[in-house]
Amino acid sequence: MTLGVEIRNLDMSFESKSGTIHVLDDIDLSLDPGIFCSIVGPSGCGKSTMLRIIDGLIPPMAGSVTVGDTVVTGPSLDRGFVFQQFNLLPWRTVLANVEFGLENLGVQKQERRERAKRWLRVVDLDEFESYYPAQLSGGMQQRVGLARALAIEPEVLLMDEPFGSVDDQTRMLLQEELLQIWERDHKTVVFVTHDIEEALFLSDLVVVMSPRPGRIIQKIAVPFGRPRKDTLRGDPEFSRQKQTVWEELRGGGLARPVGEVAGG
Amino acid sequence: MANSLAKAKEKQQVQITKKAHERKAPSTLGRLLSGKWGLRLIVYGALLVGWQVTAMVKGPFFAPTIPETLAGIADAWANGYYSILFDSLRQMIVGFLLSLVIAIPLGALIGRSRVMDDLLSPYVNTLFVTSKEALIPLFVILFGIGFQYRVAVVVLFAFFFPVMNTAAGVRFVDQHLIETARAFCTSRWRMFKAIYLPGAAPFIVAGIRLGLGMALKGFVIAEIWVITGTGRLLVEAGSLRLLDTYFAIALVIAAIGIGTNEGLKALERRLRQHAHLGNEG
Repeated sequence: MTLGVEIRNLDMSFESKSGTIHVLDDIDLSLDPGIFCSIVGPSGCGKSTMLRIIDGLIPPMAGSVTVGDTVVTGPSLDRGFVFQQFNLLPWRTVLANVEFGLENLGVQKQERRERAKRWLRVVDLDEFESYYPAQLSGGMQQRVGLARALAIEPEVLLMDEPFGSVDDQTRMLLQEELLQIWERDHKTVVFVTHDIEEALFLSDLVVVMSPRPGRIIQKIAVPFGRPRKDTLRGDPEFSRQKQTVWEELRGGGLARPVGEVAGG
Repeated sequence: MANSLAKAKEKQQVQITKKAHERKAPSTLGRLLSGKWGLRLIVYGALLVGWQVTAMVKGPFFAPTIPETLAGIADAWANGYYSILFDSLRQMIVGFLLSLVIAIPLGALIGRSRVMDDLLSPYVNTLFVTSKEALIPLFVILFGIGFQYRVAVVVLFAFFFPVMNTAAGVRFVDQHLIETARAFCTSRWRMFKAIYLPGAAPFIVAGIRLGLGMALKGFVIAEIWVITGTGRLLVEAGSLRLLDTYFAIALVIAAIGIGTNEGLKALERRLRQHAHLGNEG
């Protein structure tokens, strides 16, 4: 089972010493159950903030988020979160890290262990269950982060630039791996990235956002079928779609001169 | 003229290279003496020689010689002084553990809760800078001079470093890890157990180590104040000028302190390494 996500009139601003910073401006977004949606936008456009509001980590100033039939008021184990910096607990082994969410679910020790092992097999890290995070490469750490989020078997998976801190080759491999895992059960995914190619390769829907205050400029339905193969990246239509998304981003003011951005 | 000058220069050059060469390959002895243990050997050796010479010149009324002190360590055993010492240490350990049981949770609360910080930190800081010795007469009035009194004084001495270190460590736990735990719906209670305390572990162990030093100091002062236990041994040995016994007991206490301190330091290093590696990844 998986749930849809409804975002209505979402508005967000932060108070800082130099005044109020308007981060998100009137966001409306409706995601069907089982959709893979990417949110692209320039840094600082509020896309990570939006993801945290969907999770319930940050309360919005105005508007609402509904997951399934439930209005989000705080974090829930219906939603799994994958972080850009992996955020594994350095004093826990790989296996114990994957068990972390299950402990909060109240799963008994024996079952917890089995479930964690099962998900480590899915991300192909079962041999490393007794390692500590520091002993793994960035890509492997993020697979642990993914297994931790999947192990609680969430209805919605929220991913915050999950492959932003690994090298190019690893990133491409992780993207394919993520798609393979996603093909198993087609959970709803909200995936934040600034990488256009990544967004297109993974998603059914690409949401393009403007610089701060973040607004939705365009929602682009990705025309490629599934399951997708790595060769898609070389497809001429793929390049055309990249160009389309890039033009939307640029039209939103991405390429303003630096001085102007700083001044504004 | 110019020629001989050039030659002299050349000669100098050769000598310099030679010297550099010599420096590169020092003798085994030289290497040993310039290392950490070599330096210690020299400095501590000099101190021991100084002690021995002073004791020999001044006589046993002022300082026992090294052999006399070593004999004193054996005599103290024969006289059953160590059972008195261990009795005192047992009480110290009770006091020390009690101080940790209070200090670590309290420190964690102060580190995490604004309200607790505002409420308790002024008291902790005031007591920390107050002379703890000055409170001993009050403790005698409150607790008498028995077990309770000694435990209370040890708690008073040992309490502060674990509180302040735990608070500091918990405050500095990686914000990303806290956010992660929140995203996974970690309860407030489990936050302490699963995130704050393990995250602050190197700080906490450092606090325990400093607290143990204070506890050792506290039990000796408490006992000297009311002339009981090991404190009584020290006071009597001092006033009767049994300096070999006096030095022997002082040395054994110092050795216990150094031993436990080194053990905790090793643990602290391991935890720090762990935390550091984690941040690198």
